[in-house]
Parts: sequence; C-alpha cells; structure tokens
Amino acid sequence: MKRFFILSLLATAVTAVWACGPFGPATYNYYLFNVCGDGSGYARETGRRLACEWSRYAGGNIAPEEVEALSRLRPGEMDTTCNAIVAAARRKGDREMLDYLRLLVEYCAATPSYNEWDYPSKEDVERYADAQREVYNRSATRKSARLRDRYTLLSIRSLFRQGRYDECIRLWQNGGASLPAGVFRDMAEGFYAGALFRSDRREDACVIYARLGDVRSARFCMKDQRNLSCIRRLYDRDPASPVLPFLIQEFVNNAQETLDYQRQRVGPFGWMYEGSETAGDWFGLIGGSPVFEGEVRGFIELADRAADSKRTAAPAVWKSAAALLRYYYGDAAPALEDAEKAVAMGGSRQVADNARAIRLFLRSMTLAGDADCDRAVLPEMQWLEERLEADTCGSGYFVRVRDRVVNQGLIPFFRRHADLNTATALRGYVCQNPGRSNMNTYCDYFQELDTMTVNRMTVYHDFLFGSPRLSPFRRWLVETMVKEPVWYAELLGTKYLRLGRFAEAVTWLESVPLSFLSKQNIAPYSSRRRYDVERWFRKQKLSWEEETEPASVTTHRKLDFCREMQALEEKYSHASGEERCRQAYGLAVRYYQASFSGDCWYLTRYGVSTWNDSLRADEADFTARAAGLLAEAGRSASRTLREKSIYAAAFINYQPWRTEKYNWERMEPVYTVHRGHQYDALAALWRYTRSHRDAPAYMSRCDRLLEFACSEMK
Amino acid sequence: MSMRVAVYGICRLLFFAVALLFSVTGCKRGGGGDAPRPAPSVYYWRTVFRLSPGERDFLRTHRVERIYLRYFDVLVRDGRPMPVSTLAFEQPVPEGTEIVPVVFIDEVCLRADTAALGERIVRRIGQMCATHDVKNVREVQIDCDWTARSQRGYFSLLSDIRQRLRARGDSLSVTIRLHQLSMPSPPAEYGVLMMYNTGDFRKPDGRNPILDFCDVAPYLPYLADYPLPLCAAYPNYAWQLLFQGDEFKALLHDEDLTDTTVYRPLSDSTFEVISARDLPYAMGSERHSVHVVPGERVFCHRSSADQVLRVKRALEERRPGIGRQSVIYHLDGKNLNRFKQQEYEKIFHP
Repeated sequence: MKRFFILSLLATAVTAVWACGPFGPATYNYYLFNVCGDGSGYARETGRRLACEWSRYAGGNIAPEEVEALSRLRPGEMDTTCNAIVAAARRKGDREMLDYLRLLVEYCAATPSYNEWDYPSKEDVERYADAQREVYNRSATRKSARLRDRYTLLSIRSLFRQGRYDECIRLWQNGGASLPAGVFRDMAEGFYAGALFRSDRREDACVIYARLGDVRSARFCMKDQRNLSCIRRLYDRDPASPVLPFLIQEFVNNAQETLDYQRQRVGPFGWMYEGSETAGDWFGLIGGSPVFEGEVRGFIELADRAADSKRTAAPAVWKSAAALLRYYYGDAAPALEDAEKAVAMGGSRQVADNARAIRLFLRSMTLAGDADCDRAVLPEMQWLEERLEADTCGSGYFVRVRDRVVNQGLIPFFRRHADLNTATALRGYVCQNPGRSNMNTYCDYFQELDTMTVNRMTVYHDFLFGSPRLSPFRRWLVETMVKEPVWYAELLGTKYLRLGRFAEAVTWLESVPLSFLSKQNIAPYSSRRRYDVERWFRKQKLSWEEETEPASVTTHRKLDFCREMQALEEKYSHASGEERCRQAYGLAVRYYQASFSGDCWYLTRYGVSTWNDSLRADEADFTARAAGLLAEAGRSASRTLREKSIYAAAFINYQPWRTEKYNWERMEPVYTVHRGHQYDALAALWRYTRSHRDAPAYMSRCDRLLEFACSEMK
Repeated sequence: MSMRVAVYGICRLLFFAVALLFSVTGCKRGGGGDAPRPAPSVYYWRTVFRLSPGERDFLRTHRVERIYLRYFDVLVRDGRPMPVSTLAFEQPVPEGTEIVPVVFIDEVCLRADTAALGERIVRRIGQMCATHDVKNVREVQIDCDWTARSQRGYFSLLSDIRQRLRARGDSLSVTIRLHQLSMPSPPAEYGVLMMYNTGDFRKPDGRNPILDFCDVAPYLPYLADYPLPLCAAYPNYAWQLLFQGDEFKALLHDEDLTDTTVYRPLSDSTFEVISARDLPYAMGSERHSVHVVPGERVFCHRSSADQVLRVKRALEERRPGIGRQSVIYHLDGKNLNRFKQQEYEKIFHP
C-alpha cells in the first residue's frame, strides 16, 4: 500500500494528463489603468529592435540571442568567433564596423557582472576603471557618420560605468539628442535618464523612462513618490508635467492592489503577518506602494479639479482615474458618468484607449439588461477586438482588459439572468485555444463543458451551431468565438458513452476523424490500451516515452467500444445459462476498463487523478455495473470462470473495504474499514481459498487478500 | 583503635566537606557563559558606510571597540538565495576598531538548497574586506529569524560557515531573539540577544514595542540555562507610528508633534491629526512623503534608558556576566542624543 501511495504521488508528476490537485479560482483582477504601459515587454522589445538593426546590417536573420552573445565575447576571440554579427562584418570587409565591434566587446569585458556572489577585487575595480576610460577615450574620437549613433551609445555607457554622470548629461545634450530615431538613440537616452536620476533629477529621469516604456526604471525613480502628496505637489508646480500620467497610473493601480490585498486577508491590514506573505513583503515584492481610502478620496477631489481646469495636458487621464477609483470605492453611478466624460475628452491614442477600456469595464459591471448589452457593450467589444488584432507587439493589455470585462462583468451578468448558454460561450471566447483538440484540459472553458450534463451540452451545441434567433450581442459572440464542430461532437459522444447510452454516442462519434483523435491529449493511451484485457490480471503499462511522445491513432476506440458494447449487451440480454455467465464476464471486463479505475479511462474522460479520482456527476457507475455482472458470472458452472469472477469481484474497488488518511503529526497512515461490496467479495475470496487448497496462485497469493485477512479474518 | 576510627571518621568528614565545597562552587546553573572578548560595541545598519563627526565622537567618547557592520542581506530572488542591499563603503572603517561583518539571511532562503551558501557567504565577505581594506576582522555574525521549521537547515549552514571561518582563525557569532531562547542553541561561539523590537507595533495603544520589560519577562526563565555564551544588544532609537483607525500606515520621520495646527495631543505619547498635510516618512535612510488626514493618530515610542537599564539588570541577575558586553542598536546620528552620556556609560561600562 505504501508503495502504491508513493508510486501514485510520483505518477501525478508524470504527464499533463494526470490531474495534479486543486487550483484556486482565478480573480482576473488585472490592472486596467494603462497610460504609460506596464513595461513588461520593454527588455524583450529592445532586444527585438536590436536584432532587427543587426539583421538589416548583416542582410540575414540575426536572433536576439546572437546579439546577447556579443556581450560574452572576449577581445581575444574577435578574430576567431563565429558570432553572426562579427562574421557579417568580416565577410563584408567592413573594418570600420569591426573596429566598433572590437571596442564594444572591450567595453562589455570591462563591465563587472556583480552577479549574486561575485564581488570585484580592488585590482578588478581599478582594471575595469582603466579599461572604461580607454573605451571612452577611443569611442569619443571616432568620427564615423555611419556609426555615430552606436559610438554615442558606447561613449555614454562608458561614462556611466565610471560614474561620470555630469559628462553623460553633457554628452547627451550636446550630441545625443540630435541622433536619428532608433534603438541606439533610445538606449543612449536611457543612460542619460540614469545619469539624471543619479544627479538628483529623478522627475526628469522618470519622464524619459516613462516615454521610452521603461516603466520599471520609472517606478524605481519615483518609488516612494507614488502618493497623493507628491502628485499634488507636482500638479501645483506644473499641471502639465509629463511625470503626472505615470504617477497617476501607479497611484490608481496601487489603490486597486491595496483593496485586493485587504479583501483577500482576514483581520486587520498588518505589516507583520507571519511567514513571507506580509503586506510589506507583498508590496515590496511587486514594487508597489499601498494607497488607503483617505488618500484615494483626496485624490478624487484633486482629479475632479484638474480634469475640469484648462491647465492640465491630459484631462482624460485625471477623469478616467477618478472614474475607476470611484467605482472601487462603491460609487458606481458617478464612476460611469466620469468614464463617459473621460472618453469624450480624447487625448493621445494610449490615453483614449485607456479611457475607453475603463468605460467598457464599468459598463459591463453596471449592466441593467439585454438592451444595454447590445447598445453599450457590443460596439465596445468590437472595438476591443480590433485593438487585440492590431496589438502586434503583444503587450497583453487588451487581452487583460477583455479577460477582466468578460469574467468580472459579462459572465456574472448572464448567469444572474439564467442565460447559461451565453455565459458559457463567453468563457469559450476568452479561452486562448477554444475548440482545438490539443486544448489544455485545465482551461476553464473545457472544465465547464466537461462537467455539463449531456442534455445541457446538447442545448449549448444547438446554441452554437443551430440557427436560433439571437440578439446582436449574442450573434456577434457566436460568430467571433473559435469553434470546431468536430471537437464538440467528440465531447458529446463521450458524454453519452459515459452514461452507457452507446447508440446515441455512436451518432456523434462517427463524424470524428482519426486525424483529430491523434491530436488529443489522450492519444498515447487510446492508441495503445485495449479495453478487452482483464484488468485484474494485467495492467497495460506505458513507458515514459510512450506517454509523452505524440501518438498516431489508427483505431477509433470510443466508436469501436460503443458498437461492441451495443452488440454484447444485445447478446447478453438474449442469453441464458452458461452463455449468459460468459457474456456477463466479457461485459464486466469492458465496463471496468472504461471506468475511472481501469486502464481505458480515456474512453470516458480526458484525464484521471491517481490520488483521488472518483465517479462524477452525470456518469454511469461502470464499476458498479461490472460488480453486478461479475456476481452473475460467479455463478457459472465452469470452475475457471467462477474463480476468475470471484477474484475479479474482490479486485475491483467498488465500495472499497478500506480507506486511508495520512496522519502528518504521527507520520503514519490511518485506516478506516467499510463493510460493503469489496469487503464481502474479499471475505468470499478468503473463504474460497481456505476451502479450496488447489485454488490458483493468483487467488491464494494475492497480497491484498492477505492484508485483508490479517486485518479482518482473525 | 578508637583513635584510628576517629581519624578515619574525620578524614571521611573532611573528604565529604571538600567534595561538597567543590560541587557547590563548581556547580553552574547550566548556562553557556558570556561572550568571549567582551568590548563596548555598536551595530551599524545603514546601506552606506559614512560616519558623521558626531558618530565618530560617540565612538571615541565611549571607547567603542567593536562595530557589528551589516555587509549584506541574503534573500531569495528568482528562486535562489542572492545577496542584496550590499553595503557601499564611502569612507574607510575607523582604524583600531574591530569590525564584525554581519549578514542577515532571510528565513525563506533556508528552504532552498543551501549546500553552497556557506562558502559563498564567507568568500564574499572576504572579497569585500579585501577590496575595501577592512583589516581588523576576527569574527563574522549571522542574523536570521529562524524557526523550528528552518532549524535544521540553519544549523547546518552555520556549521559549514563556522568550519570555514575556523580554517582561517576566525570565529562565528549569531543573533538570538527572545523566542529562540526556548529552542536549541545554534552552533556558534556566542550569541547577541536582541533586546529590541520585543513588542507588536500593530497594536496602536499597546506597550512600547521597542522594549518593554513586560514583554521580556516571560523569556527570562530560559536565560540562565541557555547553553550558548551570550551578550545583549539594546535599542536607542524611537518610532513615530501613524495609524489609520486600527491599521498601521507608516513610520514617520522625526515629525514635530508639538505643532498644534496639525496635532492635538491626546497624551504625552499619542497625537491626533487635526488637519490634512503631507508629512515626511521614513523608508530606510531616505525621506519621502505620506499624506495624512484628520482623525489619524500618531503613537510615539522611544527607547528609554531606564527600561534598558532595568532589563539589563534583570538579565544580569539571571545570568551573571551577560552584561560584560553590551551592544547598542544602532549607530545613527539622530539616535545618539536619546540617552545621556552617563546612561551610555552605565550600559557600556557598568
């Protein structure tokens, strides 16, 4: 048993098919306020732009990793390296570029890693400083017009490394600022911002970082200024300050985070919670700064004034901030009014999108009825879809807006109005890969469909594929969501199979091609395990490779199973005597294999837990059916069949004779005995083996039987 | 015959008397003794090493011989223990003063793989000392708020560090928190018992969370028998704690609470905010602003020399010799004037 327990635990870690345990519900509480970006893609985007530049130079595709690899080259390797960028320069005979690359490599080599455990020695520090001085002196004298942007970047980097921040600033102001637009200019400007920050000009630095999209650096500059007092001070000094949108974004999102944190915690908002999840730890970890109600109310007053004054450069930023904060603190109607006004105020593309996303969210959270949905939500969802398609740099913002609007606003609305079809379809709409056969079986949408009753699923199927009269919003939804008819057909057929309604299952499963089945997550099992193998005598094991590599399905197991079961049930119902016993045994083998305990669980489900799987709702109890059939087969005149039936009845875990709980304090399992089918079957097996000394070894030497006997048959 | 019996009897009596004398005088209560090489000491806990003239003067006046200098923290980043907040040396360390590099290890680190951690910590300390000419180092201290759950990992780490330090002739000390007195003692040469932050500052009108004898008293019975040699560290700082209702909001930075346009005193240590304004608050060593609104309250807690001396006496009563070395937490110009000179002398040189 212990070995089973350990193996079970190990097995749960093996494949994606096996359910690994409960997960908490998602909250979809993404930050909505976004006028400066969240900076999550900044580093990746910079890498991509650099790679594009070098690809243009090299005349071929240079991956970001190849650019990164330059930083690890050593000066002595320049003549022999296979790095694609260096190789391109060599191939072109471009001595000017090679000279630059050599200097760049020297710069990188003179930049200590300061990684987690290295600390430079005194000699290292001096050597790096000398090397950086040399790099700067040489790069500053290069007069190449073609490579001016690269050399400017190299010069400013080198000065920065040496802590010569004033010179960084002068270099940028006297030359860097006039560089043509491009990634090298932007990177140089980032170092200029860093020099400003270190010269106590953090607000100037923040403006640049925010404009470049380096939100992480902007946040660092202003990390303890993201509060009302600083926003107010800045506004009083310069209402059009370009830092303000960034600070407002941080303020609004931190206010949400504070509420989220408070609402998820029981008890007072304390800084000294035990363990690693104190509020201080949490906000420190996410780089946030808590914002409480008093400050929020103060900010709303300021925002109202600022938005209505003519002094601010972006009134929509203030107004949409006030709208969201009002909503968070329970003033839904005034919040929606503010949101409408914010959209009307216009602004840059990002500001306008932000206002519109917030208005959509508030509309979805305050819907009065269907007509509202068609009038106020549908056009905005269509706009959101356009933005999603156009979001090629993959910031993810519009995806998050969509997820939050749908999951927090629309789905609950339709559920409240008992429109489960629309609510389910919305779930499918936001699921990343809805309707595809390699869909993640942990996806919310799949879980919802898989646990639906077959009647409900049939109605839902008609909703998606029939031609019902739908409202404009529903019509748009059904036409927009990705759906493959064959996937739904396969799922419906499986549901009927689960109920033992084989004829109905066949009508759905017949339309499913083998190519589809080969892409399913259960393909490794369905292609290798047979349902006519007696489980109590042999477990059909798969190797690690067989379980994890793609499989080619050549037989439609579910369809074959249904047809075979129809035929066998027919024969069984007309049989009598010994023939009936034989038919009963054959059916029992198949029913048990198709249950959650059998090797062919793939017939009735898409994953199974070795730890605690069980019969689900809307599913026939195949184990119970097998038990009943084995009881009948056990009355056979044939000793062989009788013995196999008696043994099988004790083997199958229908009404298990014992359950186990682990006591972690005493570090031992605790057993509870149940008198039910398996208990009686094991007792019957025990009695048989005592009265038949020539009983086959598989009966008399069964370790589970011996365990049972030691426990119960004293 | 009777003479021999008498002599025998006297000898037996003498024997037992001497044995009794030895057993009484040799009998310790089971405690581990005092810190070796006791000396007046301070903790330095800022991230930049730079002594003001006032701080240098303090070290001279009170003949402070040892500085426990925080070198870096170790926290888990990207799933691995990593050094953070490394001390930046803007000035050389004072000549003639012993420096004890201190490394704070977050307990979460002990759940990760610590096999290489000891070697990395010791090596990094050595590198930092070499780069910044910190020469007078004979000991390293590890600070960690470990629990029963992390005890095994922590002790294993300390054993490794201790072995490495011994190989070069150095020793290891550790910090000990009050609640750890009832637990097994870590493998080190001695411990510094932290007699500060003893209370719960979540409670707006509770006892002084910095140091209050009532919070210390329950732990005193464990003191005498604690096997590791000990000395104690005492606070000299103050807190101004801002509360919104019952929720802690911020630690203020030297706010002038006598300003009656902003505060109404409710007691000599509690003030109510009566008009909204922006206040500086403390975040590390930098000043920033927090917005306060009417109705919020400020609770002041100060380290009290009386409390420190009372606690010191109580410790000494239960564990004679613990007072041979006292450490002040911590060396910072704004805290130094909180006690009078003679009070510091009583703490350092009883």
